Amino acid sequence: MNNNFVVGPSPHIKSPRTIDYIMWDVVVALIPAMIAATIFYGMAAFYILFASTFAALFFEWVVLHRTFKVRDFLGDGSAAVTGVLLGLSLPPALVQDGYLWLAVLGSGVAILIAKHVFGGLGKNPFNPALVGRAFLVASFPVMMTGRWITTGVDAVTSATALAPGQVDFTLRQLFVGNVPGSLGETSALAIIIGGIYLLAKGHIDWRIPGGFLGAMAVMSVFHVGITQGINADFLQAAGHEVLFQWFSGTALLAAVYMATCYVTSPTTKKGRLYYGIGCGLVLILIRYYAQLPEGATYAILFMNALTPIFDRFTVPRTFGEVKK
Amino acid sequence: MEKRSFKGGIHPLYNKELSQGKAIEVMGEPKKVTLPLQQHIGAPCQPIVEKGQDVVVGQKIAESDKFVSAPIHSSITGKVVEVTEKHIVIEGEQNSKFEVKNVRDIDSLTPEEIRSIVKEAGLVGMGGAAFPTHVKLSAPEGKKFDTILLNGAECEPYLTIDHRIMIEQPEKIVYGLRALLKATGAQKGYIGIELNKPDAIEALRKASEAYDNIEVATLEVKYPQGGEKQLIKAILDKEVPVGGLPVDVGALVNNVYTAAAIYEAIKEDKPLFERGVTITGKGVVEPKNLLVKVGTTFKEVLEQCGGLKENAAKIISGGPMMGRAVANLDEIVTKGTSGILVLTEDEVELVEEKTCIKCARCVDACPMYLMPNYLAAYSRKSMHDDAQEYHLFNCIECGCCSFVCPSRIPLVHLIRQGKWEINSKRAKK
Ligand code: SF4
Ligand code: SF4
Repeated sequence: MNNNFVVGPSPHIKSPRTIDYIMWDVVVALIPAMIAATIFYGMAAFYILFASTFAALFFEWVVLHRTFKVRDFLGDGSAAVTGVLLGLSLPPALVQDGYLWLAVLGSGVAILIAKHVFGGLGKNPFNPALVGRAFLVASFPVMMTGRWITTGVDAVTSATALAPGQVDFTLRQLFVGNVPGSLGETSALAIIIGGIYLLAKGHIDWRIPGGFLGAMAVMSVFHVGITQGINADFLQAAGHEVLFQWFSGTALLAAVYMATCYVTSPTTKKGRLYYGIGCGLVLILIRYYAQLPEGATYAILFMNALTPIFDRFTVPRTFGEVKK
Repeated sequence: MEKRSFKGGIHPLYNKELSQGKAIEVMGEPKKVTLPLQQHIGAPCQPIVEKGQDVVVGQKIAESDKFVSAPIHSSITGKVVEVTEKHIVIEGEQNSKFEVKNVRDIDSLTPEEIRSIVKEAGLVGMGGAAFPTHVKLSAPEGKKFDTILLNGAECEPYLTIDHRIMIEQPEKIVYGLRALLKATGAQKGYIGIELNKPDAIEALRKASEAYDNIEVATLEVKYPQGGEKQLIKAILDKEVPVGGLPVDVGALVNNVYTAAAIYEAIKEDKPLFERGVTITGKGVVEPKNLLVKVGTTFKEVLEQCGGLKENAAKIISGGPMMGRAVANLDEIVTKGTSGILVLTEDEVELVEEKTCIKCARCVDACPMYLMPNYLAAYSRKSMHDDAQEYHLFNCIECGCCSFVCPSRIPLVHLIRQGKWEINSKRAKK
């Protein structure tokens, strides 16, 4: 009998869910959104997603890994998540206009500056994909938000559903995805499928998307009440407005995939709920009052900054502690 | 069936099927036993036998005049061959059967008598911590027990010995519970069993039918369902106050196996010198539940199970969540040894620790509603005041946080170290 055994502290068994497993599972949950984008925008979507993801993996590899093996290149999956999310937040017109390199630049900013300048995975205060996107929007506003194209083969320039003065898209169009916008905004359905997968696997907590979308709904109802008064059509109008706010723009993508980023959201249960609500509130305020078509990026980045405060002030009551 | 539970906790793979169907077998007599003089938290015992003396099985060989201590009895008939400060070694023939008598019954005993029988028999908690049972039975000044809870949850993965004793000897457990009720004056007794042991639930329901003050409580299958505080929360919906004891909510928790041992002490005058142990894991040739004499080496016990497989890599005394990894097979079975678990090479994960990604899985899993991520970080940096502000000492060291952490941070280990550092600082002052 062998008499040389491993010793170490308890517990001696661990959950099989390592960082790699979770991150790659998030990529799996993004597949419906990637497929939807490719269906509606064709190869443009594919090029953008490929460029942003490959670039993200490449920059991560440059910083972290020195050997050249496929596994090293793929890393722990967190760079892939960032790359895909950034790609999904870019407009398909980039390809038509010859600005595909913006996808690479965005990933570079996300991985090199937003992530590794702060010390890498786990240490970054802001969501890297959103920082990448915010950087692109601020530096190249024309390419990023000036031109949207409609879906379909014979794509033409058009405005997003949220642009002021835009004709209404039907809710069904918004839900299934046949509208102009960023790659990942198009199909609410695809995002909901991915979100259900993440919730079912326990990778995200309902409190963040729940608080996020809940706050948006409450604010939308108030907005309708204030602008048009409580009349006979109120319920219908309010319901329409809520669904419109949810399904248009990046709201849903942000609520499910970006606000729930582990590193930049609070770790207490209450903190997560308040943080989600905060994201929804800020997003709606930006949409109604700032006249910016894209509020989700700034809303979440703003709340990222508050995350440590939420953690600090929502420490849970410990077991057996008498409520004060 | 009703599913009582608590908040938090985890669902690991249970792997109970390895030994679950195996009836408790009596292990062959060891030739030599080594009886440690300290088998539990509390004062160590002093030997009352000398080298060369003949002893019989069940004879008291060491005791202490301290209250928090339980005497030790010889587990075989033979000759004392060694007495040191640490242990007593006895060598004997292959045949030392304890003669079972039917000496007395609880009805003829006063509560004090029951408590002193429990003490004399050297009973300790048999779930792992091995705290002397008679100490638990005396309520501190001004407090009293209303409820006795028996822990039959057996929530640790792999272990099946409590399950076996519940289906094989349910009457003993119910008898032990009645003795505990009488000894403490408590009104009501519960036996908490997880829903994955329907046969045990059935057996104990039947065995307790005749007593209206005893109820079987069915529990959700979840770790650490058998944690003292979690069990009280699940069954009575009461929280033991921070820094307090179960008696603060009128409860007393004992293991089902301890209850069976109480029966033997009272009815048969049999002290605690042998116990059931689950020998299991993918590294054991034939997993079993064995009745083992206290003082037997792991090596001998494992030989009874066909020995170890080639790929055996880690030996654990107890369950995989809270048990202790042992360095070699000279380790001794004590009164608190509930299991011997052998993990194989591919089950022993040697991955490097990564940075915390703040996923909050540890926070969500903690059954004490703590923030293990912060506790571990503060302990690592020796920021003891911050750690205590976050209720470091309310941690029950269940290991749920370490289990779920995707970054493989040894959270409970860091927390334990933090506690240890604070305690040793306090001791110096
Ligand atoms: S902090 Fe303590 S009580 Fe909480 S899960 Fe970790 S070990 Fe268990
Ligand atoms: S489970 Fe591990 S990685 Fe997640 S928050 Fe806790 S310590 Fe950090």
